[in-house]
Amino acid sequence: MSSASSRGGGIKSIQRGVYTHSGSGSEENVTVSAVVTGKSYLNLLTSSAGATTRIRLVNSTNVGVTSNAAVGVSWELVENY
Amino acid sequence: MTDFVPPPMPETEPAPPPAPIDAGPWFYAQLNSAGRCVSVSQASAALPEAEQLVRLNSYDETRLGKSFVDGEWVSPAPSVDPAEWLIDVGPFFDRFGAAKMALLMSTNTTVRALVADLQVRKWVDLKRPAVSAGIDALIQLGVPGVNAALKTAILATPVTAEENLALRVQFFGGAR
Repeated sequence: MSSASSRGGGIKSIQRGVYTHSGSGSEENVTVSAVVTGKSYLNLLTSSAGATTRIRLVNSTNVGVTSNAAVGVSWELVENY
Repeated sequence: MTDFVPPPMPETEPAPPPAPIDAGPWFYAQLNSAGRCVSVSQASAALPEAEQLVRLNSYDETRLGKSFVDGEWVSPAPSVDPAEWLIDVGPFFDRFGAAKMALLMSTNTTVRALVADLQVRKWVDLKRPAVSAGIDALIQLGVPGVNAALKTAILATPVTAEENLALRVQFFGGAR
């Protein structure tokens, strides 16, 4: 049985942040350190009640945040080996 | 036999010190097009230099909402309350205190006109010159109890939340 580290897997990096959306309903971008998109995933940690908020990894260096309210959005970007 | 004289060493410039390795951590504030901080993040490596990115010493969420001007963080100006000096009509009359009934019961046509003018309004703006002039007129017309001291008290006392609750709810979207 092999562990994640012995397979060369495991977490390579974690980036985090909080973004204050304008509430425009359109997608706004946060710049991040380059990741391999196919090996990365994004977690929405907190937002505000009553707001519809969505985050996505737009490309290797941008996290997109969309919200219908002016709220703070906390996120975490994890990249695996 | 002659003594050995070593040849002079060629003059060389000292090698530049190696560039410091940026080992992080990499905390950044991201500015919007207005120069206001909308994001604080911790990256996994140094981000390319960009006008909208400001390197921080720590994960400092207090930067959010502040502007970065000439290398300094500037807090936003406090918002101005548009209803700060607006008072509901009833509480405005209440500010006349003991002189209120004399004012309302006056038979003087000018006083009655001033009262009628106030009663058809949604609110009274205490900083409006016409309001000050109207109280001056009441003083000149001799309405009992209305004097300069009362005028100052009426116009210079900050409006409490209870004194303009109606206008805030109806016209400024305030909480009930």
